Amino acid sequence: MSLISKQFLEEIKKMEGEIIGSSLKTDREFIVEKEGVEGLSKLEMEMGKLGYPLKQAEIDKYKWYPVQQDFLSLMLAQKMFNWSDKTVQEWGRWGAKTNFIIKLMSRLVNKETISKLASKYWRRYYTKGEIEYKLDYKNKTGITTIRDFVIYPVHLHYLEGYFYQIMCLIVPAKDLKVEGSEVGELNTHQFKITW
Amino acid sequence: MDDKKRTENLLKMTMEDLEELERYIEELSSFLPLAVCTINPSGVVLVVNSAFQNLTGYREVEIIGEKVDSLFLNKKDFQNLIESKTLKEKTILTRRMTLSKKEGGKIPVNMAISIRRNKEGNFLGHFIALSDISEFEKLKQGLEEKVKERTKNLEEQTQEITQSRVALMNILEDVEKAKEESEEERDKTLAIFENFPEGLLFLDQKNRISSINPGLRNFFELDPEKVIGEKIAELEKESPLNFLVDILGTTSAGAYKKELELKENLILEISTIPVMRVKGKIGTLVILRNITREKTVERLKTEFVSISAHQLRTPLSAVKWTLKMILDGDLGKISEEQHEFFLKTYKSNERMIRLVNDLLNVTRIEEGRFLYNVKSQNIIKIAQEVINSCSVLAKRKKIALKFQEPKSKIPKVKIDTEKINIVIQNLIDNAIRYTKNNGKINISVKYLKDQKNILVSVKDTGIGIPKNQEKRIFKRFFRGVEAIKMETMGTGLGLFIAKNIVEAHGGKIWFESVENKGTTFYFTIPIASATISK
Repeated sequence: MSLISKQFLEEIKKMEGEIIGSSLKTDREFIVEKEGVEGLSKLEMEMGKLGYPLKQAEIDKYKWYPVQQDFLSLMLAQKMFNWSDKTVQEWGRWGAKTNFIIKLMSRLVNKETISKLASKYWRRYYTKGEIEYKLDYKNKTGITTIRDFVIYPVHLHYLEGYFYQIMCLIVPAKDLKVEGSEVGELNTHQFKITW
Repeated sequence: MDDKKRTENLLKMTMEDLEELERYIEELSSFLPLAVCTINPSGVVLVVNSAFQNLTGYREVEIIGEKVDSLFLNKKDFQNLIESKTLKEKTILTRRMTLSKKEGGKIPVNMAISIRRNKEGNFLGHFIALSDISEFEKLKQGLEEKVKERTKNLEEQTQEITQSRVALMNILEDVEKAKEESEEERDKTLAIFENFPEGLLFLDQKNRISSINPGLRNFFELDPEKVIGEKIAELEKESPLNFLVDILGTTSAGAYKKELELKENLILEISTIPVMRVKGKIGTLVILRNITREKTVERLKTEFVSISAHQLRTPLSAVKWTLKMILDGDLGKISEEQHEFFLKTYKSNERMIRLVNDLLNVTRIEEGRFLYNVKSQNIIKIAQEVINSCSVLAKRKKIALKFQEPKSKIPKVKIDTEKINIVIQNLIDNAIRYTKNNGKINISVKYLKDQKNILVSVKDTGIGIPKNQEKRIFKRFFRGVEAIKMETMGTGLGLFIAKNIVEAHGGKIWFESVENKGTTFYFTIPIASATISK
C-alpha cells in the first residue's frame, strides 16, 4: 500500500512552479544525514514508484525541477521515516545552512537588507509565489507572508525551520520562534516571528 | 524567439560558471589548511571551511548560524577586538585566543581577523582565521620550563659555587693561618735546632741524615753537604760520624743513651729519641752532649775522695789497733769508767773506718774498677756467713733472724764474693737497724730456673720506706727522715753501693715496702753473668 493516496498524488501533480536543483540536492542530503544512504535509496525508490524517478546523483544544482518533486520528498520522508514536525523544522534549518545560494545571500543579509533580499532570493529558489518580510525590531516581532504558493503542513514546518535559520543571522537565537499558519486568502501563509 | 534563446543560453552559461565557482570555492575551502570562517555583523557564523570544522570539532551544520564568540573562552576579549577602532583601521589584526572545542578540550589559537565589506564599502562582517598554536605553545612552555629549570639550576649552582667559594676562602684563610703558625713553629723549631748548644742530628725514616745543627758541626768540623742525605749504615770509615754506625746500625734505633769517648778531651753522651707523629715514626733525633768537662770534674772529685779516704784509713787503723790494745788491757789495767770511754771512742772509730771504706767503694764504683775477684761461688754460703756475723746484733735487739735456704740445690754463680758479701751485709744491717725490738727478719735465696737468675730477698718487719722517698732510696748519701731518727750512724752509701755491685754483676735490685709494716729488698744475680766489669 502506497504512502501517498492516488487522489493526493493527483492533487500534487497539479502544483505549479519549479524549484532550483541545489535546494533539491541539499534536502536529500539531510535524508542521508538522518537515515543514511539506504534511507535515501528507499525514498528514491518510492518516488520512482510514484512517477518521479530522479536520483540524487542526477540532480543538477542549477537546473529547475517541478516543485512537486520537493513537496513529494518532504511528505514521503516524514511518513517513511516517521519524522516529527520538529525534525522537519530541523530539515528546513539544514537547507538554509548548507545551500550555496543561501550562503552567498547570507553574507549580504542584515537588518536593513533582509526585506529586500528575501524577495530576491525566493526567486532564486522558486519560480512561483511571492514573499514579504516585515520586521519590527523595536517590538522584536515580524511577519513573513508567502502568497500564491501551495503549502502543505509538512512544507509549512520546513519553512518554519528555514526562516528560523535566516532570522538567526540578524537576531539573537535565544528566544527566537517562528510559527507558520494558513491565512484566509487562497494559497497564502504567514509566519509569525518573535525573538 | 532568437532573443529568448540567446537569453536562455546566456543564463545557462552563467549557471555553469556559478557551478564551477561553487566547486572551486569548495575545493579551495577543503584544501585550505587554515581554519577560516565568515561571520556577519552580529557575530553569527555564516560559512566555515573544512579546516575550521576539524579544528573546532563542529560540523558545518552545527556551527553555521551560531554566535562565533561561543567558540572562545575569552568572549569579552573577542567582543572588544571586533568592536575595536584599531580593527576598523587595520587590514588584519591577530590575537591569541583560547578555543573551546566541541568535545570539551581547550586549545590556544592564533586568531587573525579582518573586516568584510561589499563593493560599496559597507560593513558586512568579518573574516576569521584560526591556527592551532598548542604545539607551539607546548614547545614554548617546554622551552620556558627548561629555561626556568636551567636558570634555577644555574642559580642553585651559582649559590653552591658562591657558598663553596666562601667555604674555600675560609679554608684558605685557615690554611694560611695554619701555614703561618706552622712556619712560625718551624722557625722556632729551626731556631732551637740551630741554636741548641748540644749536637743534634735528625735521621729520616730510612735512617738517612736529614739535618745537622751547628753544635754537631762544631764537634767534628763537618761539611754538611758531605753527609746530608747519607744513610748512617753507609757512612765511610773516614767519616767523623762513623761511630754512629755501631750505635744506630742499619735499622732505626729506639730510645738509647750511651757515653762515648771519641778522642782525647771529647766525651759525648749520645742519646737517640724516636720522633713520633700521629702517622707514626717520622725519624730519629740523635743528641750528642759534650760531657767532657763533667766527666773531668767527676774524675777529679773521685780522685780527691779516693786519696782522702786512703790517707784517712791508715791513721784510723792505727787508732783502731791502739784502742783495741787499751781495751784488751795489753797496755795496762784500766778502770771501768775508762773502759767505757775507750769503747765509745773505738766504736766511733769503727764508724769512721766504715765510712772511709764506703767512700773508697763509691770511688771505685765511679771509676769503674769495682770488681776484682770474680769466681764461681755458692751464694748460699756467702749469705750464711753474713747472717752468722749479724746474728749477735740481731739477738741484742731480740730480732728473729731466719735464713730460708732453697729446697733444691742451686747452681754456682760468677761473682766477686767480697762485693756480694757487702750487698747482703748492707741489706741485713739495714733490716736490723730499722726494725724495732722483737721484730723478724727473713732471708731467702731462690733459684729462678726459667729466668736463669738467683733471687736473694731480705724481708723485715721494720719502719718501712715512705712513698715519697722510694725514688731516692738508692741515691748517694740519701737517708730517710725516719731512718735518721732511728739510727744516727748510717752513711747513706750502703744501698748506693749495693745497687752498683748488683748491676755490675748484671743483676737487678728493688724493694717492696709498706710504711710501719716492713720492707723486702730483692736482688738477682744471673747464672751466666756475661759481662762483669772490672
